[in-house]
Amino acid sequence: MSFLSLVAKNLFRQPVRAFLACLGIAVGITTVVALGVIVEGFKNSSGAIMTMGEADFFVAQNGASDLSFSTLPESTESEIAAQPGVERTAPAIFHITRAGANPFFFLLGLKPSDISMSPPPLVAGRLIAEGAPDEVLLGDEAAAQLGVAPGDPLKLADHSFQVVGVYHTGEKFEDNGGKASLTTVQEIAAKPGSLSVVYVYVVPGTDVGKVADAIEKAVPLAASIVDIDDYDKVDQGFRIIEALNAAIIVIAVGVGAIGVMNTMVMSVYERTREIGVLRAVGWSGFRVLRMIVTESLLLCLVAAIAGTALGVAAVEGVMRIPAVKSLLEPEYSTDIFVRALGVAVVVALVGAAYPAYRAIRLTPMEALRYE
Amino acid sequence: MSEAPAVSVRGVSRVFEDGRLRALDGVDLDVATGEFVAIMGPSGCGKSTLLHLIAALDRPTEGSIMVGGHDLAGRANLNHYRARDVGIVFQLDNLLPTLSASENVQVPMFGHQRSGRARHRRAEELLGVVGLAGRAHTRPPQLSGGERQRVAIARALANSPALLLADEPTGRLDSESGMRILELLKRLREERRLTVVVVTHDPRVAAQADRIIEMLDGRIVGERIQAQTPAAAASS
Ligand SMILES: Nc1ncnc2c1ncn2[C@@H]1O[C@H](COP(=O)(O)OP(=O)(O)OP(=O)(O)O)[C@@H](O)[C@H]1O
Ligand SMILES: [Mg+2]
Repeated sequence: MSFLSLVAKNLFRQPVRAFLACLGIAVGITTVVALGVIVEGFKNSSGAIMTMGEADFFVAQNGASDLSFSTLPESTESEIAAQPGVERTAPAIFHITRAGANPFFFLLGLKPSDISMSPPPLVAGRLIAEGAPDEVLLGDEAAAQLGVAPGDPLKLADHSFQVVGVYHTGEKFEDNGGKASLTTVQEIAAKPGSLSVVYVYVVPGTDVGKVADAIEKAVPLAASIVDIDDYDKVDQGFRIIEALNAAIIVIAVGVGAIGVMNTMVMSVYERTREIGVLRAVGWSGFRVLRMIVTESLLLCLVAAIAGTALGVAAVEGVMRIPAVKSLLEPEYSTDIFVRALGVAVVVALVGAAYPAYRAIRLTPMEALRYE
Repeated sequence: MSEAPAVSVRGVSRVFEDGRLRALDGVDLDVATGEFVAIMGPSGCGKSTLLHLIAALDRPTEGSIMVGGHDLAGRANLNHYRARDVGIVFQLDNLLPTLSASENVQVPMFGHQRSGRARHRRAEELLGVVGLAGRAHTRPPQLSGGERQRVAIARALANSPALLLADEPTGRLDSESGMRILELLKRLREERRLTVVVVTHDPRVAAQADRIIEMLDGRIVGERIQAQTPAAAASS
C-alpha cells in the first residue's frame, strides 16, 4: 500500500461528503477560470484598439469614463504632431452601432489617406478612395454575418454605404467592425470636428515611452495609452470590471474554501482515535500532518481539474452569444490555469491547517481516549 | 539470565485529574528478556495505564522506565521507539476499519520499509504467522473478534520489536479463540525470543505465563513464579 492510496481511502470513506466539498471548490475554480478567460480576452480586444493600423500608441481624452466617450478637438492632432519624435499622426473617431445581430459593431472613422498608409490586410475588394464619403470597409466576420460583399450597399446607423473591401486582421474587434471616412463617421456620431483618439507613429528608433510622456506634458487634455495598464486613464470600466472580477472570485472561492475546511475538520475529528493509533504505532506528528495535508490537496486538485474543465465549458458556452462573440476572443493564458491551481493549493492548505494543527498537538494517549 | 532486564520500571506513578486519581502508585517491575509475564488485577487497578507508559504513549508523573537498557525519558525519538522497539495490542483491537487486514499490518511500516512492495510482502508474511494468510484483503468489520486480535498482533510485530505488550488480547473472545491467541503469543515468544507482557483477567491465560504480577489500586501486591508450562517445555 502506498501513502497516497492510504490517503485516498481516507477521503473516499465518506464519498458524498468528499464529492460535495469538491464540487464547492470546483465551482469557485470554475469562476476563476471563466471570468479570468473572459476578462483577459476583453482586455486583449480592447488592447487591439491600441495597435490598430500598426500605430505605436494612441492619445485619448484624459479622465474619460469610457474610451468610447473620449472626445478631443481636432486641433489636438496638430499639437501632438508638433512634438519631437512623432513621425506622423492619424486622427480617428469611434462609433458603436448595431449591425445585423451584432449590437456592438465598431465603426472606425479614419482619413482615407491614413488608411492607405497602413492598410488592413484585404481579402476582397479595395480600400476607400479619397473623397468617397459613402464607402466602407468591413471586417470579414462582419461581412459574413451581414451577408455582404464588395459592391453591395449597406445601411449602417441610418447611413447608406457601399461596401468596397473586406479585410481580416485577426482581431475580433476589427474583424467584426468596419472602417469609413473620418468626416462621415463624425457626422453619423453627431460630433463634427471631434476626435475619439489620435494614433501616433514615432520616428523609428525613438523611445515610445518618452514621446508618450512628452505629449501628456504638452497637451493637458491628452492621455497617452501605450499599454493595457494605461487604460485606467481613459476608461473607468476597466477598473470596475477588474474589481468585480476580484470580488466574485473572492466570494466564490471563499464559499468553496469553507466547504473544504468543514469537510477536513469533520473528517479529522471523526478519526481522532485512529490518529491516536497511528501515533501509537510510531507515526510522527509530521507524518500525520502530511497525511491530512495530502488528503486536502488531493481533494482540491480533483476540484481544480473539474473546475477548470467546467470553466472552459462555460466560456465556450458564453462565446455562442453573438454580442459576446463580436466583442472578445477568449484568451486561455497559462496564467489563468496557474492561478486556478494556486487557488486549489491555497484552499487545500487553509482547509488542512486547523485539523492538522489539532491532530499533532494531541498526545497519542489523548487521541486514543477521545470520544 | 544475567543480562540487563528487557523492561525495568522504577518507582513509577501516574496521577490523573490534578492529583485526585492515582492510577499508578510507586510501581517497580523488572521483566527479563524473553520472559512471558502476565499482569492481573481488578478493573481500574492501573494495568492498562502501566502498559501505555511502557509503550511510551504517555509519560509517568514520577519514576522512570528503562527498555532495553535505555531510559524512555531520555530518548530523542519516541516515534522510532514506538515503531521499532515495542509492539502493542490494545484492549480494543483498534484496527483502522477502512483498511484491509494486510494494510492495517503495513501501517507501522511507513518510514521503516521504503517500498510499497516490501511492506506488502512483510504484511503477507506476518499474516501467515498469525494464521490469517487467506484473509489479507478482508477489512476488520468482516473479521471475527479473534481474527481481528490476530491482525492486531501481526501489526504489533510489523517492525520486529523485541517487546510485545498485549492488553487483554483474549478478553472479548470465547475460550477456544482465546486459547489460540495465547498459543500464538507463546509460539512467537519461543520463535522470536520476544519478551511478552500480557494483561489479563483470565486465570487460564495467566497460567501459561512464566510469572504472574498481581496489582491492586495502582500498586503491585503480589508475584507468582510458575513452573515451566508443559507446552513451553515441549517446544524448547
Ligand atoms: N487519561 C486518563 N485520564 C483520567 N483518568 C484515567 C486516564 N487513564 C486511566 N484513567 C483512570 O485510571 C484508572 C486506571 O485505569 P486503567 O485503564 O489503567 O485500569 P485497568 O486496570 O486497565 O482496568 P480494566 O481492567 O477495566 O481495563 C481508572 O480509574 C481510570 O479511569
Ligand atoms: Mg485496561
